[in-house]
Amino acid sequence: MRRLLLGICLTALTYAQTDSWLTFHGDYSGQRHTKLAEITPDNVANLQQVWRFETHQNQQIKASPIVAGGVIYITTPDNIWAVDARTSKQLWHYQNPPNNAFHIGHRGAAIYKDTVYLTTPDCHLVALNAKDGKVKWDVTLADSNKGYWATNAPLVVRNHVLVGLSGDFDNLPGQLKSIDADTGATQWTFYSTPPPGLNDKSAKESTSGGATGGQMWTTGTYDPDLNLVYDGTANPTPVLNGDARPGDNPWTCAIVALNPDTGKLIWGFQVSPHDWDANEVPVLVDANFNGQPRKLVMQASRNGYFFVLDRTNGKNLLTTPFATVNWAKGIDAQGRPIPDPAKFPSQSGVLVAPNETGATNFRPPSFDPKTGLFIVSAQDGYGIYFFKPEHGSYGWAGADYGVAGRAFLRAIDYQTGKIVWNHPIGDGAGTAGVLTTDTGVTFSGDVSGNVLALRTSDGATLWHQALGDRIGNGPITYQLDGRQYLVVGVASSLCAFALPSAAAQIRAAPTGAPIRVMLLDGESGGPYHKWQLTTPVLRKELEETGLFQVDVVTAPPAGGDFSAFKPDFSKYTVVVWNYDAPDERWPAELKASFENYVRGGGGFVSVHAADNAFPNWSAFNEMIGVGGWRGRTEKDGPFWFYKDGKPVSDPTPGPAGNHGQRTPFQIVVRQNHPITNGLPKVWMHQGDELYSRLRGPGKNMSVLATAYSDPANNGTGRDEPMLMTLSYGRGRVFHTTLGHDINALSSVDFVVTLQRGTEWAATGKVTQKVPSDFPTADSVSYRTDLAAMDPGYNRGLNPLDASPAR
Amino acid sequence: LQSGGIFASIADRMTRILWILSIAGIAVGTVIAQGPQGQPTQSPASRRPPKTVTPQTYSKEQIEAGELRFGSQCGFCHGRDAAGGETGPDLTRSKLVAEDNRGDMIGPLVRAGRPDQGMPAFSLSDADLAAIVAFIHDQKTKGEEPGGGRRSVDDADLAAGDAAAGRRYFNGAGGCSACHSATGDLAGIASRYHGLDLLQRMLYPSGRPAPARPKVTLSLPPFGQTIVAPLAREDEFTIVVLDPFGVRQSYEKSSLKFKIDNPMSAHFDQLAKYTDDDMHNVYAYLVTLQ
Repeated sequence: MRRLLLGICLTALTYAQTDSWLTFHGDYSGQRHTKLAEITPDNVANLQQVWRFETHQNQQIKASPIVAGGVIYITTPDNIWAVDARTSKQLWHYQNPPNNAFHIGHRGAAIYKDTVYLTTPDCHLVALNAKDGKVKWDVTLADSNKGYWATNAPLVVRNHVLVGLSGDFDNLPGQLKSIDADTGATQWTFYSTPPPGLNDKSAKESTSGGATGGQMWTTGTYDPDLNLVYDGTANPTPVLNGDARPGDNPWTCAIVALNPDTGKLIWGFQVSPHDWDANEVPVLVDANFNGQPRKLVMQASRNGYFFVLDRTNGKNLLTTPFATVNWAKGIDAQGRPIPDPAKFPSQSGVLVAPNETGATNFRPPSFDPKTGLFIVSAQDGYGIYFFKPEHGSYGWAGADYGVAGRAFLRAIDYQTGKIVWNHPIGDGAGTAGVLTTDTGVTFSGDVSGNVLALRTSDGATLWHQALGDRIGNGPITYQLDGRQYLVVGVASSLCAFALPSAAAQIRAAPTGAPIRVMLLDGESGGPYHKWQLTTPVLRKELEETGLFQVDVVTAPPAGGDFSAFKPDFSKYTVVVWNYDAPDERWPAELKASFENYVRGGGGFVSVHAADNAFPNWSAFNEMIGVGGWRGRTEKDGPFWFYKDGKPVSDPTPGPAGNHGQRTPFQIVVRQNHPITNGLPKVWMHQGDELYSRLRGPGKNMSVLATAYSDPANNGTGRDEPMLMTLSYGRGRVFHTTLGHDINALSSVDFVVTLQRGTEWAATGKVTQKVPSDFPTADSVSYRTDLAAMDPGYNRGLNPLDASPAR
Repeated sequence: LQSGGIFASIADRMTRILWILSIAGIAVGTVIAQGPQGQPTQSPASRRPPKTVTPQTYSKEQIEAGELRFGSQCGFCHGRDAAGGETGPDLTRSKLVAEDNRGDMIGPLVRAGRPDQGMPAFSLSDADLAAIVAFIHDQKTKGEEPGGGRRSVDDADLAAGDAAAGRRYFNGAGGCSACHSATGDLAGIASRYHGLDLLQRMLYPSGRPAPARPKVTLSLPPFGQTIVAPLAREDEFTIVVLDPFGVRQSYEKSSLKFKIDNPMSAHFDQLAKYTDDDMHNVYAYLVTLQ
């Protein structure tokens, strides 16, 4: 690892590395295109979540992680974590002291040799030892009390750590600083507008028209052959008062090319003379343009225009809108849009496209060299913009309000600017960046919290998975131990996906021998548990996985002859109980046979009221951990539940087993386990009996998930166990209290936890993917094909069906 | 369920029906309660900027501490002076702030967030929250003094249109009358909303009260039952509707036939058609619908 870190050098960054992701963009080009070829359009639908790292902060992850030496470095404002890139195990966490600068977001860290660099909201640059997170040095970049703040992921070029700042609410010049990677000393500062020391008013006006601003808050790109760094600059200040800063206001809203050794401007190109932010990634591509091999720089800019420039000299080759725009009245001879004064902010307001969020924003695009497509998260949106003289000429100096937008992933042909495909991702603006693979897959996310894999050539959806929240950063990829990982930031966590390991693929293959399952039924505690109806549903749910071969074994009824009922448990890997009978029903030798089977390593799944059975059979109660009804009381063990997030066992006397009306309720995951891996932390379960007041020995029991038992619905006010795993001897037990009737059994979460729980009880592993219709925290999801197996379904089983036709 | 036998499911159904009735009952009761007083939004507190209902004072130290915390946690969206920023409204003109007393309304809102409007939940200490509340109220007091308040839009700023031209556009080229009527749904609209609020709602209805949800017509397999329900959420793969209990029911689009009737599409399409004059004229026309 040490050697690998030391090996990070210029050449390594020219092309994306396979085992690492070394800059915000992965490499110096900004293309976000990987040569890794394990994930293809054909197998992408097999991706599974392999880990999730939760930062436990209320800050969304907007940063691109850095990956080096098998370690991921991920940031939020004031925080950086180092986590194992294979397992997400936290290695260290550094937290900047609390401060009162803006905490709007953070774009990521940078790495050089064995040092990791973190910018902080209060404008410090902290150098940390990559190995243990110890501070090497800490320097101040600017005075955050004056209105600067920092979100920037630095770009490292040789020993130059290039850091930009932010600040829109005060009239401050934009800056990019070069900091010595080893010592923290400032090497040079580039000002995009006149520096504070320049007091000569006429000199100021002759350079920027009196504008300040042009902050450089995003991460640039670098061409080692030309030795030029390309960076975007933001809007001028005062922001909406254009009268106070006449002219083009260089170098705000521009792409600038700088010499990284001196900070000298080599050329600049203003994508929005006079207005708008232009911090989007300047993507470097060597390719033909009009039949000529060229060194190009491309930007899909926040102002709605796509630009292609010759990056040796900044000459414009193409300017074309890629989203709805109405603020320009043409393109000038240099390829710059000409602002339309009629769309300048006014006292009564003007309706302008795009809105302030922009036609795109910092979420990074990707360039796919094979198709020549530049793929960007785009928004067609409108805002209203106001300015009147009373708003003054300081800071924002005006008002603007977004009206509405529509979000898309959009593929632009870089030679013509034509939109080749347009994939809608919802209302508003997207928040995910884009990653393309050499195999022809485009990864991004929609506004509804799905990770998406599209076919790069035509934008068709190949795979998606609901994540419970939006992706807020640019997806990255790397390969370790021959396994390709895809990592995205979701709310405050990182999620990693990979193809099932080779071993898992073999086990899940339909050609492999199926797991033999005995599905036991034949009796219930009353006619309300209609095992004759529910067994076919359970059987279908198990068999549809292709993993199981199910035999239904029906025990004799009450009063039946048990002398010939000697099921051979040993033929089965797992026995699923849809069965509930009183103590006296089973002869002692039958009980002993089942005990021996589980103790010897047999799997056991207890579904819903199976945990009512056999209150005085002590081995059975050890297997299920907790049970209810049939006279169970404190003599059978304490109550088991969660209180204030912690497991509790409570010996208070009282009868066991209770539930309320069958309404939908939320289930909360309490433990990481193969059965719950990849499931949302919270989901809604279809109307079902929520069991409470269960008691029992609780030995070797893990509660995987609980649900709040609402006192308003005859509940306990406690978080009651819903899904449990136990061990009995060498046997594995999965216990679900869910599944009262077919309505409940058709709930997608029941299906998934039964399928996964049964596989785990049989093998100790789970190879199944989570389906895309898994319920979310606020929505139930049920399968109509299963629900329709209830004879009452067509008369209205679901509350929706019950409503009169309208 | 261990007792109740076969009647359990019937009992459940009865409970559900009772719930429907009780929800409907609450709704009816609310309408009656509001009826004699007219729309509750027309209270004197809705004048801009609304006056603080319960005068309250805070220590200088607390306000200063609040200024720092507000600046770092809230300022990006609401402006460092609380007078509105990139995406957050001007809090010195907020009705909720005017009605707040020592954080009794601001506190719960900050802790819960307004996820539907893009405001996250904040976990702040009681002391930090109290300081932020102190700062907001202090800014509001300053904003009520002459000369205060930047980056906001007054009703008078928007009075740039011609109501008669707006009416012609509304009934003619704009096509607004295809869905709306000055004597029907929009009767008295200007007494419910005004200024920037009215303009924003005119361009693209959102905020509170929320516009009506789009209606979804679903055809459920395998019997093809047709259900019409309000849309709660939609993405490329899933459609979520509200059942009669208000519980969200989720369906995979690929598994059924559906049709969504979304009146907001016409509003979005209109944004590309308005000239700024059209926009101001229609606004001026709506202002006449008192």
